[in-house]
Amino acid sequence: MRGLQFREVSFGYKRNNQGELVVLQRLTWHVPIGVTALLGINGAGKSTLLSLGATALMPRSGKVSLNELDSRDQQTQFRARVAWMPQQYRAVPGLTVREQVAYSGWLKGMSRDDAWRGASEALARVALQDLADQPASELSGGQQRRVGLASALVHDAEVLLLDEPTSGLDPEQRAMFRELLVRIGADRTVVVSTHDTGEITTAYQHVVVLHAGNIAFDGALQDFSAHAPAGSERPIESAFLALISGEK
Amino acid sequence: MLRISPAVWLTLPTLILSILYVTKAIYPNNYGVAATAGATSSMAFLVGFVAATAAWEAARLRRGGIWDAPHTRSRLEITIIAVTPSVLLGAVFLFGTVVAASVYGQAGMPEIRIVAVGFVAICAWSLLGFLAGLRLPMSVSLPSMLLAPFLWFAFVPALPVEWLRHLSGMYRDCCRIGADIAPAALFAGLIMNVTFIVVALYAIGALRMRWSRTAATAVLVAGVMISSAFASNVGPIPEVARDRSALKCSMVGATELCLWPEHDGPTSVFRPTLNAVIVALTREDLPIPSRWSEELAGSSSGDTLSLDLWKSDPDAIRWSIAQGLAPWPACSESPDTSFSGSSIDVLRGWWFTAMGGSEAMLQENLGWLIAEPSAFGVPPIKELYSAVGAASVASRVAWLERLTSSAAECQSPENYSVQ
Repeated sequence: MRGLQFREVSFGYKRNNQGELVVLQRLTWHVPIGVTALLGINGAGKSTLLSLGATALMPRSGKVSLNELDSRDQQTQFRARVAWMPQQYRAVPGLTVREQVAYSGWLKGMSRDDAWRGASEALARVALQDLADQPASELSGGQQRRVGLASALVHDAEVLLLDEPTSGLDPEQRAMFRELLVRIGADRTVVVSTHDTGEITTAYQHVVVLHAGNIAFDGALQDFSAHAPAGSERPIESAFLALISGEK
Repeated sequence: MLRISPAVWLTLPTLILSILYVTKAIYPNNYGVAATAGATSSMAFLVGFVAATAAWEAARLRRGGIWDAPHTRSRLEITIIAVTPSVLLGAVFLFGTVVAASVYGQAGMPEIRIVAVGFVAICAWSLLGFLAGLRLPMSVSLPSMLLAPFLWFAFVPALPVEWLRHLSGMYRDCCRIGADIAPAALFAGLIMNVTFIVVALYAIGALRMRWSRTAATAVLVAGVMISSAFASNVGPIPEVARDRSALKCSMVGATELCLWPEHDGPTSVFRPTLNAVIVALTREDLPIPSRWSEELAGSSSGDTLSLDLWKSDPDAIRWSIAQGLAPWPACSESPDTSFSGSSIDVLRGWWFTAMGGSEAMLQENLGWLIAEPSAFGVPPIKELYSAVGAASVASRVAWLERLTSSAAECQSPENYSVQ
């Protein structure tokens, strides 16, 4: 089966002398093409799920695959097709914005020339071309997140896993990000994690809600909105609250 | 990454520093092996910069979250790219110092085997620095990487366990012109540094081995044992006698004179000076060995004068011959001896004067004896030399033999005057 898939995936964090904190339990999810919002309360396992999808973490059991490529056995090919923007994005001290993005491309297997070209295009996509020669570590928090986004875009991956990419962005930048989502999500898989239901707009085609170590909802945005009580002023938030509290 | 690496900024100053350093070093003129080995002594204070810049790069990658992120490039590739500026810094100063030493010492081609082991040592310290930068806070990794190579290259060779010095890949004690670098010392340095590389790559996570931790420990133990085994048979100076067949010998009257090719070039002053000295001493009917050779004393025998010529200057050559003709006797090594050795200095000065040595060199080497001869129980030596020079050949030879045999028994003559 094509696309990114999680099959019976379990994962937990070891805690000193306190056993394991189980975060995901036998989770199965076929990530659709298009833009998916990954919702969940703090600690629901959104970042863990995206880290597993990016192979930054490996599942305790189960499999993660992309187009039949196993994340463990064919890691290099798998990683080349997946881009990941972690929640805590950190710039390498001393690198300019362009160097930072180009270096990310090189790390993903691009040639030096392709990485430089790709960096310019990615910076243009996130409207950072004017700051390309500034030291990345001297930018504001919001600008650094855009550098992180450009770093995820640079190698033109099939799957983009973006962990809370809009935190720290101002309203104008958020609007720009939504436009970008529409463009990049047209022909690839994009998963955006957030706990802010106000972020969910028509830029997203799918919604997944992660709750208690598993998926509580997986469907189209319209179907998700249908979970909201009738007459709700904020249907996305209401639907989310209804789902995690077990109400219809 | 290259253009903003601190290694790039350090390249020029360290190169200047290292060239200044080697031009102050002393090694035999015209001998590439000795010049190259002498140049590697600069590693003691320069490899610290190599390791520290590698630690800096690693700390940057760690702080930028690069190291633990899921990349397509392997950690080995990332490491190689990251340490390349540091390795280049080390290579520039190593090659710079070697070339400077070769030019300054008119030594011709550098000894490539010594340069190769030095380069491996630079690679090893780059990786050790990178490892420190990944594992330790920068406030610890930077100063420790500046200090650790200094201790390894300078402090360890000063320890009483002399063979330890051959593990580093720095061979500053090599070599007299009659000697070549000991292959065992080269192997010891090479194996130790390759061991450092393998273990550092494993600890960095850039090298995956079957049974990784056990294999890395085994490599470390085996590397230390094998390199130590090679080094322990070398002795304090990492040299072996050169192949005698390379000596170029010719007759000067009844005396055979053998020089190494490096000292026998058309522009070299060694053979013309030695020819003139042999002719002058023979004309004076002085007793000189029938064979003069640059091969090491240990490999020469019988009636052979072992020449230790280290400077391309006629007066320095004459002084070296004088030292060879009036050597320190074996009995002077005894802890019970009270032999002052003044008679040896008197003899050396006389031989030097008989060869036509300059007043300035005599003053430079025996100024203390010329200034206060009575303090050392000898007569004013310039007057003594004039008197010996004016005496008959038989008296002169008798005087020489009397002082020489007295010195050979660690005795100081009561009377220095010529009969």
